[in-house]
Amino acid sequence: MLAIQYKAAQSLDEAVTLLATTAGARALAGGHTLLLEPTRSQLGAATLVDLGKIQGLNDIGFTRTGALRIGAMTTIAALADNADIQRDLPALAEAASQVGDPQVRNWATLGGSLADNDPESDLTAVLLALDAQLHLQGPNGTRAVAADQFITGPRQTALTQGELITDVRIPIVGGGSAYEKFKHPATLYALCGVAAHVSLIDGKVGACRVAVTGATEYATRLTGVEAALAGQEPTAEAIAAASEAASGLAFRGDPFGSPEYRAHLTRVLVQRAVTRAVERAR
Amino acid sequence: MAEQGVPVTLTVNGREVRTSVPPYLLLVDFLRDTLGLTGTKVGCETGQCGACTILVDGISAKSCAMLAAQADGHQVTTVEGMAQGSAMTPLQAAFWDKHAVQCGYCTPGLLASMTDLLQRNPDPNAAEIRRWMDGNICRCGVYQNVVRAVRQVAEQAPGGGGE
Ligand SMILES: Cc1cc2nc3c(=O)[nH]c(=O)nc-3n(C[C@H](O)[C@H](O)[C@H](O)COP(=O)(O)OP(=O)(O)OC[C@H]3O[C@@H](n4cnc5c(N)ncnc54)[C@H](O)[C@@H]3O)c2cc1C
Ligand code: FES
Ligand code: FES
Repeated sequence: MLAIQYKAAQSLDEAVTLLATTAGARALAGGHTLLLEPTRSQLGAATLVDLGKIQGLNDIGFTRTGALRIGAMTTIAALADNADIQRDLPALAEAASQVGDPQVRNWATLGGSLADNDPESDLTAVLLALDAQLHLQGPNGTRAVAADQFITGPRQTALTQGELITDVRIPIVGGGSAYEKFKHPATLYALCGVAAHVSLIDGKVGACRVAVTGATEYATRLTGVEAALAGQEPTAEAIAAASEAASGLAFRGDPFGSPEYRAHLTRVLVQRAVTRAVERAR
Repeated sequence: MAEQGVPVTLTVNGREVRTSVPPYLLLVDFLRDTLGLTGTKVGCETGQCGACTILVDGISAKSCAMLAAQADGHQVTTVEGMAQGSAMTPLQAAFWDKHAVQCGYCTPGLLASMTDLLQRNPDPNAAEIRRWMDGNICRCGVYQNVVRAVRQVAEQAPGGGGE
């Protein structure tokens, strides 16, 4: 901690240059992972490149193709409170409103949460279910990566050295979405969280994406559940049967919950999230 | 390693502060150790207890999760900046009336947090107040009295409807 250096970037280009040219540099967003123990003690002599003064990184607005574009420095509270997100992407608003506590939501950011890819992050599962694209900028230019390809393992992402998330784009494709969280009362993190997006064609499930967080080593699509739902009439029985397809995953176990318990939570929350997503799709 | 100071200009409790801070210095340590504003407490340093909660541009923040350097250009309010002389704010007076303080360690943080809540929602119900307390841990257990205190502020506010 005592050795860290600090630089406030005034523009995205300056931040990318600083990150690329300064040995051991790390981006600093909301600081609610980076500056807190145990991470803080491990920073050594890192240079923290503060993104907080860069203009325009917390904008929320529609693109010409009708996707919602959300800047990486948007706070979790701003996600929860945004009227467009509440109307078009209710799973994201629901997840954001359940992250941590009010002060965490006030300062922690979308970009920081995704880059951190904590096994219990609420937003990773939602972005998988909503088929989000992450836009990145690094020393070699810009690129877009689908959420499916962005999350590569436990706390591992597709970000390369010096690369930043600039914004996230989520297609507005109709249908309905929902997020269900079983919150640990002390840590406030998800023992299990499930996000679902469902669209209906003639009363039957058309496109459908379901993802889990907290219960597995990293946020993961439940492709078995999705396949079991596709083409079905979404009755309570069909949804319950589809939730069984989540049973084969490798679930986490720790003092807060055994793998069996998390498997149970996953099945229950799949049913709740899919049921509410279907109601919204009608 | 030679220490590179970061120049900052911020407002603390209405007073402009222009200085240079070590890059590693946390905002809570700057307030307590550099400015001597020891009303703000340090509990966990893991972002969980809320003892260090202050207002930054009126928004409640855990000052253990922010560098002093990041406060450049911002307005900081701590518990020392709330009362006007000996005249407590309505929220402070309600904490007094409803005994929402025991040892007092969590109080500066709770006052900052509940000030933020009341700015957003002048008439929060008990469930909303409890939910907003997620970020503040009180070892003495004054939570029920905090709910009563915040409700008193809501009910006594001009036009505040109460239940
Ligand atoms: C008490 C507490 C409870 C919490 N509860 C929850 C919860 O219930 N659910 C949940 O999902 N999260 C929770 N969190 C985590 C919170 O959401 C984190 O703050 C967040 O994951 C990190 O965001 P940040 O903006 O603070 O990032 P920082 O701490 O600033 O950065 C985190 C990491 O991301 C990198 N980074 C930041 N921005 C970018 C960017 N734009 N591009 C590339 N890399 C970047 C940094 O270099 C760093 O490695 C909790 C945190 C606390 C302290
Ligand atoms: S000391 Fe900041 S949250 Fe506990
Ligand atoms: S009054 Fe003692 S910790 Fe809250």
